[in-house]
Amino acid sequence: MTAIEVISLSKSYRLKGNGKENFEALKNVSFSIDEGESVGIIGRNGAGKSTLLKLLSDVTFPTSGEARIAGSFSSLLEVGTGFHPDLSGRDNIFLNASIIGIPKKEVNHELDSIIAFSGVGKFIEEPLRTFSSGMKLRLAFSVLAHLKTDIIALDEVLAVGDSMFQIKCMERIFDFKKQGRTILFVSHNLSAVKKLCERTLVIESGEIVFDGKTEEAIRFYLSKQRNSVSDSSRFLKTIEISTSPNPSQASPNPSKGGGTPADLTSSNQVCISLEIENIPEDSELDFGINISDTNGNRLYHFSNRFIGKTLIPQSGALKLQLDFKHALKPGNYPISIYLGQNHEELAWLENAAELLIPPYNPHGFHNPEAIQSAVITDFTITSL
Amino acid sequence: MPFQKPIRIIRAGQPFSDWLKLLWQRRETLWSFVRKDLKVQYQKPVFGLLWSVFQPLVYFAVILSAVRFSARATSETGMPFELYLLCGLAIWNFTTSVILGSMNSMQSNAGLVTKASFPRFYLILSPLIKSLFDLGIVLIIVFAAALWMEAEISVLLPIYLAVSLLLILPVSLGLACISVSLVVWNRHFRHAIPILLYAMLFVLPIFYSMDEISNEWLQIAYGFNPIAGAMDVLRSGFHSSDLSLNLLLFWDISSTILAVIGIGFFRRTEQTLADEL
Repeated sequence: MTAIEVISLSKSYRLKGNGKENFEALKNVSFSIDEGESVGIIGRNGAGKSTLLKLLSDVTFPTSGEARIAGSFSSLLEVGTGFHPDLSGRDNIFLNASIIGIPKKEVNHELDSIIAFSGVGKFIEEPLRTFSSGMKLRLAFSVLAHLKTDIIALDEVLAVGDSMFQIKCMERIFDFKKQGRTILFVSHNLSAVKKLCERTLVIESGEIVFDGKTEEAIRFYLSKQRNSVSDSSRFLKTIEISTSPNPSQASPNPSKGGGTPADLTSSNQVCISLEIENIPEDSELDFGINISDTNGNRLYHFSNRFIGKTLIPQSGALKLQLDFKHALKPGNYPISIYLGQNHEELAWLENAAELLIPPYNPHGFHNPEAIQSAVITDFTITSL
Repeated sequence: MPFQKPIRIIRAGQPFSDWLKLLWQRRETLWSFVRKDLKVQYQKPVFGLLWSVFQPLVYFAVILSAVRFSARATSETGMPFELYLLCGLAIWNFTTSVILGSMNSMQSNAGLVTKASFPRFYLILSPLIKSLFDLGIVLIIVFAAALWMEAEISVLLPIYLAVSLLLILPVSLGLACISVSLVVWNRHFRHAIPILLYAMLFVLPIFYSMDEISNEWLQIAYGFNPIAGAMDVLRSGFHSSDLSLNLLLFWDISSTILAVIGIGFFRRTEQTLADEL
């Protein structure tokens, strides 16, 4: 059964500044979501993700188009909506619950469990202003954790709190998912989206530009970002990346495995050579390279400062070559480049290029696909 | 299909019937707003009470001394002047606090409006209900003053009180809706509206009686002013002169019209409220 059906939904804001200009935050968006699906929504800031959730949550109304939502719906656009500092923790539970649409009867029924889950203890009768920010978060979250609605929309709820809190949130969201509820998950945290959602929508300037498997959506989104690198790309003239050994010669039997660990010492080399130009002055240049995975997690960082190497451009240009030995599993790895001068950033070239690690299997794994992360080989195991 | 879940449709323009239905369905949220306002004010009951009667009593003291020192005749009102003044101030204070309360609640709940879904009309209804509570306390003081001054108390007082409320509630609601809409439309109204409300202190027959006014046009305007009407209906409970039913009808009509216009305005404002705040 369909849980959410969106039919050419549009939303435009009137800009007050110059006359009657309109800003289209969402243009003719259509999609449908089945019951029990977890769908991620990704896109850059201002792409229209939050507008979409606000429309679905009745916070604001569309300019045209329609959406149908089957079943009870609650959206968490914020943690602790409506908390009042002068009321006690207990009163705030009721206030917050009533604002996000949990009936009082349900709260009464679960009150003990909500208070216990929040772990604020005897503070529950104290005014909220005496709470630490961590306690406020936990209290708010324990209200959300007791939501009973069929469909739950979350907007960057994970962006607050420390990592322990985020892990706890995530666990709870997984519980929601296991219970077969429909989840709409807006986040900039691509690895969280990947873990939670099978399907993801990519939104760009108010339009859905991709709707499909999360992994493909993330790849699409990152490659889009790379193409839209702004004028700072004038610094980068050329970039060439080569991996050795060349996949056609090395790893003769990539799927079955056949290499030995010894291969690692002589292979898995990456060589990145690049030409930088248009540097304002011929004084010392700070150069850094960042390698991430497709979920946006940063993996490796290289900087000339780390090894005490001085780089001085000649008439604004510089040719560099970076060689390193990697332990990455096969896949695509976006590369970002940092350029700085006089302790100030000149340019940050997000996703300037992509490092492609071809299928290889030097470790003799039976199932190389199962390698979960970068591989470390410089260690020993001793049986005692 | 084994069971059909209720379907909510989102589209531009919400029919009035849906608006009313939602207003009723989410009433728990309204009560929690009211409870919050009352709890915050009455956490220290003495201060809570003091604040709800502070403004009318201060104006009472100021106007009373001004009138007494100027040796102005106060016999025209047909009842103790103090009581006459208190009745007028009670009504004026109610309307003022509903309007200012709504403007305030719209501003202080801006974060809520952009992050949560609930009938926006509650942001006006909850200050209205809270002001009604405060009005109750002021009316108790009025009644105590009437007893103390041994004023005439009509047996019809409850009816007069009810009629007075029926006049003042729609007009206050309507004016609050209009004020909030104006502020959302152009925030400079935030400064203009309080000034107009204090001007009302002199425009309305609070410390003088309409019998003292000979200007024909002002008399006609009085006939269409339900706030002045509510004051005089309330006062009728403390003296024996009869109310004109014609006037009552006019007041009732104008009060209803203001409420309808106000709600109409607010329904338009509400559509874009989350975008404008």
